[in-house]
Amino acid sequence: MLDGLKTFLLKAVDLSALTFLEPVVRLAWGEEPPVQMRRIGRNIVIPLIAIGAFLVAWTLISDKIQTKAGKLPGPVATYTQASKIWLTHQQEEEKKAAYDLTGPGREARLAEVETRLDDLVALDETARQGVIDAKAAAADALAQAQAPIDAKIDALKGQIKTAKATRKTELKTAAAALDAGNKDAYATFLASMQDGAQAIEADEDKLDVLKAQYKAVTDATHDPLVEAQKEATRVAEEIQHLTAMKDLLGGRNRGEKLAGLETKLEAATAAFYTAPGEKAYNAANKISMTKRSVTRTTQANYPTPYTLPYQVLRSIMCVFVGFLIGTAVAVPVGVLCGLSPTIMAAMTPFIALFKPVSPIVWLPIMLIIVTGLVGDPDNNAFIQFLWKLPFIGSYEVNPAFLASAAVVALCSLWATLANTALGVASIDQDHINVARVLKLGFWNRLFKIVLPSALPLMFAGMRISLGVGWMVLVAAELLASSEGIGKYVIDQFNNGSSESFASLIVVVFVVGIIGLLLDRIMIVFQRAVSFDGSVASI
Amino acid sequence: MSNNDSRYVEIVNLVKAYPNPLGDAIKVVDGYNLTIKKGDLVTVIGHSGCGKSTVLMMLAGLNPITSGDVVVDGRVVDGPGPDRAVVFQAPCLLPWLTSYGNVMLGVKRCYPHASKKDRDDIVKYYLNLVGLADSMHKYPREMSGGMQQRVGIARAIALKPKMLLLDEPFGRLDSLTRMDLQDTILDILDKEKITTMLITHDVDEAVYMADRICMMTNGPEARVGQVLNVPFERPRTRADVTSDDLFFDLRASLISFLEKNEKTRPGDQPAPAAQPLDQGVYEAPSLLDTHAPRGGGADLVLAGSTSGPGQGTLN
Amino acid sequence: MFSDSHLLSPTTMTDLATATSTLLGAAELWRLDTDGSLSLDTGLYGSHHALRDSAADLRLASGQGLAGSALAAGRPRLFDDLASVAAPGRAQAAAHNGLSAAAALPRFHGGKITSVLVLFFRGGGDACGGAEIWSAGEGRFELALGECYHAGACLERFARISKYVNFPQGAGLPGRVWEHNCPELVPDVNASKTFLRSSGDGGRELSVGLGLPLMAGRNLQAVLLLLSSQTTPMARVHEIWEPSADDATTLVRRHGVYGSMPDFGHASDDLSFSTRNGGEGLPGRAAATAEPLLTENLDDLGIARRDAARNAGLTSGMAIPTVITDTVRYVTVLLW
Ligand SMILES: Nc1ncnc2c1ncn2[C@@H]1O[C@H](COP(=O)(O)OP(=O)(O)OP(=O)(O)O)[C@@H](O)[C@H]1O
Ligand SMILES: [Mg+2]
Repeated sequence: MLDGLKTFLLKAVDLSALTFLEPVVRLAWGEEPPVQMRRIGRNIVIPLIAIGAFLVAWTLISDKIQTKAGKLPGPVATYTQASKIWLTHQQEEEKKAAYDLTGPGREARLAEVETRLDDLVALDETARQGVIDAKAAAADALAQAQAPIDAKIDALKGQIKTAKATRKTELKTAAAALDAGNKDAYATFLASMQDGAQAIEADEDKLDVLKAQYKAVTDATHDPLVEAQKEATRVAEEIQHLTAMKDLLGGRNRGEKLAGLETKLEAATAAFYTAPGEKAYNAANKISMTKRSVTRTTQANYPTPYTLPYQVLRSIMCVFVGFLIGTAVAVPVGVLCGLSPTIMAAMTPFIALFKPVSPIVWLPIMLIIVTGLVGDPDNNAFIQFLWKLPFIGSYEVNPAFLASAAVVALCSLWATLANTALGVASIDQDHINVARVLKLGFWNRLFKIVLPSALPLMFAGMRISLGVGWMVLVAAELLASSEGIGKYVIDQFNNGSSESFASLIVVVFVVGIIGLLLDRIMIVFQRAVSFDGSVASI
Repeated sequence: MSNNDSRYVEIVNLVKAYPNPLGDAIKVVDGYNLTIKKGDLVTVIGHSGCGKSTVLMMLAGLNPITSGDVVVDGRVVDGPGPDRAVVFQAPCLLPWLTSYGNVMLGVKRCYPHASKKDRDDIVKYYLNLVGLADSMHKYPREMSGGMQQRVGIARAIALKPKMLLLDEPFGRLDSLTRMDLQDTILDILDKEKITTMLITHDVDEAVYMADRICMMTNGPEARVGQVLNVPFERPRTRADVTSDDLFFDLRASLISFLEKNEKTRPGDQPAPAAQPLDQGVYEAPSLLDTHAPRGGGADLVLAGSTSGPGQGTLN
Repeated sequence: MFSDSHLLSPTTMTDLATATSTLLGAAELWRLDTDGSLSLDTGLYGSHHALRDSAADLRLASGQGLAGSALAAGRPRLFDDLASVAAPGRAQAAAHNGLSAAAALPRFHGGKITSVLVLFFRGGGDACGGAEIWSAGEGRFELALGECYHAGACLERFARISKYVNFPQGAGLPGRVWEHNCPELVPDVNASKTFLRSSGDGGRELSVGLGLPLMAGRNLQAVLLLLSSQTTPMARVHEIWEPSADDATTLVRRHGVYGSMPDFGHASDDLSFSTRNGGEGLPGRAAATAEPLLTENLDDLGIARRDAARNAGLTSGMAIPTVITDTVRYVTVLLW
C-alpha cells in the first residue's frame, strides 16, 4: 500500500520533471538516508542558500541605489507591492461580482458591506486620532532629540564667536607692537595669525558635524507615526473600496438599475395611455428612450479593470494563440521539409532570411496588415465572432492582440520548423524499412511511423518556440499597446512613481515564473512523447 | 510436390553492384543462384562482408537489384512487401508502440477486413507463440534484447509471409537466449511452414536450424559456393541433432569451406604461369574464361534440369 | 643432364613399382551396331586377361550388362556392385582381378548414342580414390552427387558427406566444369580453392581431381569426377588437350599432371598433335573421330615421349574427346 504510494509519487515526480523532489520521497521511505541527504543538500539546500544570498545582496544593493523614482525597491518593498497588486485585483473582482449580484445575495452582501463600513468609520476615527497622536509624539520625541544637540550647537557657536573676538584683539595688540623693519618679527606675527585661524576652523568643523546630527535627527522617520499613517491609509482605502462596493450593490448595481428602469417604464407606459393627445408624443418618446436604456444596461458589463493578473492572463492567452498559429504552420511545413529534400532546398533561403528578423521589425508590419484586414473591430465578423466565444470572448481580442500573436507566431515558429524537419528527416532507417515491408500508404506511414518518431524532436522544438514566444510577446505588447504584461510595463514606466518602480520589479518575477512554468509544462509534454524514456534536460 | 513448390523461391543470376568513385562499379554479389523448396529453411553462411545481408535485402526488396531476378511463388520481386517479412539483427521495433502495438501494426495491414476482435486474437496468438503472453503491453525499452527480438519475430510471422528473412536475428544475444530463440523459431516454423532464409555466423546454428546450408564465397563477386543438405528429421531436438555423428561431419565440412574461402581473396589467386607450377604439373597460360567465357555456359543447360534425369537426349 | 639420370635412380624405380597400381584398371569401348546391340570395339586390360576373355564375342542388348544399362538409361551410370549388372561371368572376371566398380559413359553423336565407354575401377586393399557422377540436384542451379564409387576406408567420411553436398554452377570442381563445359584438372585438391570438399570432409588423402563434362549434344548431362589419391592415382598421367588458338587443327596441351613422372612431363612440353588426315597420335586421332580412343601402342603418345613412357612403365592410354555440338573442344588423356 505504502510502497504503491511511493511508486506513484516517484512516477509523478518523474513525469513532472521535478526531479529535485525525488530524494525527498525516497528519504520519506527511509531509503539510503545518507545518499538522499546528500542529494537533497545538492538539489534543494544549495539552491535555497543561493536564493537567500541573492535576497540579502538585493536588499543591500537596493538601499544604495537612489533614483528619480525613489530608491530601488528591495525584496520587502517588492513583496508589499505584489500583495498590493493582488489586493487591488481581488477588490476589482469583488466589485465586478457586486455589480452583477442580484436578489437576496445582493441584499445580504450589501448589509455585510454596510456593517463593515460602520465599523470602519469608528476605526477611521481611531486611526486618524492615532496619526494625530503619533504626530504629536513624534514632534515631542523630535524636540527631545534636538534639544541637546541644539544646546551644544549654541554653546559651540558662542565659543567660536568669543574665540574669534579675543583673537582679533590679541592680534591687533601684537601688530601695534611690531618694529618696523624687523623682518623676523613680522614673519613670526604672520605665522601666529595663521595658527590662530586653524584652531577656529577646527571648531567650525565640529559645528558642522553637530549640524549634520541635528538634521539627521530631524529627518529620521518616526516608526509609530509611519505605522499609524499606514494604518490610516489602509482604513481609508478600505472605506473607499467599500463605499464603491456599497454603490455597486446599491444604486449602480445592474439589477437595481434595471429595476429602477422597469418602474420608470411602467410609469411612462401608464402616463402614455392617459396622456392627452398632444402630449402622447413626448410620452411615447420617453417609453422608447427608457427601453433603450434597459437594453444598454442589460448589455453593459462592469468595465474590465486592467490589473496585473488580468494582464498576465491575457498575455498567456496571447502567447498561446501565437504559439498555436506558429505550430500550425511550422509542423506541416517542417514535416514537408523533412520528407522532401526538394522542399527543404526551396525553404532554406526563407528560413535563413526570416529567422533572424527581430520582433520589433515584424510588429509594425503585422499591425498594419491586421488593422487593414480587420478594419473596425465593431463591424468585423471575425472579431465579433471571437468576442462571442465563451472563454476567449472575455479577453476582448482586438487587432493589437492579433498582431502581437502573429509576431509571436512569426518569431517562434522557426525552432519548431527546424526541429520537425530534422526529426522527420532523421528517422531510423530500420523504421522506414518496417514501413516499406508493410507497404504502408503515405498517410499511414506519416501517422504511424514518421510523426511518432519525430515527435520528441518536434516537442523539443516547440518548447524552444514557446520560450522564444514568451520573450517576444512582452516586447510586442509593449509596442502594440496591446493589453497585457507589455502594456502594464509601459504604463508603470510612464507612471514613474516609486510604487510603479516596485511594480516593474514584481513584473520581472511574474514574467520569469510564468516562463518557467510554461517550460515545465512543455517538458512534461516532451517527456510524455519521448519513447526512449530519456530525461529531458532542465 | 509440384514444380512450383520445389522452386518456391528462385534467385537467378542475382547481381549487386555498388558504384565505386574510383572506377568501375564493384559487384559485391555476382551470379548468385539459389532455389528454395516451399517450407524449407535455408541458412546462409559466409565470411563477414561477403554480401549475405545484401542478398537478403534484395530478396526483401529493400535493396535494389542491379540485375538478375528473384521470384517468390511465381512472382518477380520488385520492391518490399508484407509477403516477405524481415527480422534484422537489431530488433528495430517501433519504440513508441508496445509489443502488442508493434505486432498489431502488421496485423492491421495484412488483415484489413478482419474484425477488431479477430485482430486482437491474432496478435495475442502470435505473441503467445513467441512466449510473450505476459509482456503484451510492455514498451521495447522495458524489454530485454531477446524479448524484443521475439516481438520482431512475432511481428514478422503475423504477416503470414510467403517468406521469412532473418538476418542474424540472434547475433546480439547471449548463447542461452540464442538457443532458446532458435528452438522457438524452429517450433514456429514446424507449425507455420514458412519458407525461411536465415543468415548466421554460427556454424552450429547453421547446421541445427537448416534444411539446406548455403555457403557463400568471399566477395566481391560473391556467389553460392556450396550447398549442404541437412537430412535431420523435423521436428528436431537439439540433443538428438548434436549427438549425431553427421552433425559433426557437416559442421566440419562447413568450417573447412569457410577456412578454404578465407584464403580466397582477390589477389591471392595464383597468377597463371606458362611453366610447370611444380614437379609434374603443367598449367596452360590461359585462364579458363578466355576459352569458355562466363555466360557461355548459359545456353548449355543441364540436360537433367530440362528433361529430367534419366531421359537424356536419346530417342 | 644430371637430373635426368637421377630420375632413373632406384627411388624412381620404386615409385614406378608402387605407382603402377592405378585405380583405373581397364577400359572398354562398346560400339552400337545397326541392330541396336553393343559389341566391343577396343579394350584396355593390361594384365586383366580374364576380363578381356570374358568380353570376347559378347554382344549386349540395350539394358544388358554395364554398357547396355547405360544405353538403356541414356545417361552415364556408375556401378559399385558389378555382379547385379554385368553380363554373366564378367563380374567374377573383374573381381578376380580386383576390379570392383565400373562407370559406363554413353557417347552421343547427332542426338544419338553411338558408343559406350566403360571404365573399370580397382577396389579393396590399399585402393583409395573414387569416381563420382554429378547431375542435376534438387535446386535448379545445383549439381548433386548421383551414383558414385569411393574406394577404400580412407574416403569413408568423404563419401558420407558428399551425399549432402550440392554445387551451384561455377562452384567447386563439378560446378566449374558445368559452368565452362570444359574438363578441368586439379593437381592437389587439398591445396586448391577450386575443389571445395577435401580435408574438412575427410578427403585428406586425395591428390589429383579430374572433372569431365559429359555432354549430350550441346547439353551437359552430368559431370564425371575422377579422384586420385597419392597411393592409388586414377591414372598415372592426366592431360587435357585443346585446339591451338592459332590453328584449330593442332592440339596443344592445356593442362597436365604427371605425378611421379616429371621427366615424362618435360618430354611432353612443346608437344602438339595434328588432327588432320585421321589425326596424329592418341589425342589427334580421338579428336579426328570425335570418339574415345583406347590404345596400348606407346607410339600413339608421340614419338618424342615414347621412350620416356617406356621408361616410366606406361602401358595403356585413353583419350576422351569433349564434343559440344559436333565440335571437339577438348581431349582428355589418361595414361597408366
Ligand atoms: N552502400 C554500399 N556501398 C558500397 N558498398 C557497400 C554498401 N553496402 C554494403 N557494401 C559492401 O558490400 C559488401 C557486403 O555487405 P553485407 O552487409 O551484405 O555483408 P554481410 O555478409 O552481411 O556481412 P556481415 O556478416 O558482417 O553482416 C561489403 O563488403 C560492403 O563493404
Ligand atoms: Mg550482414
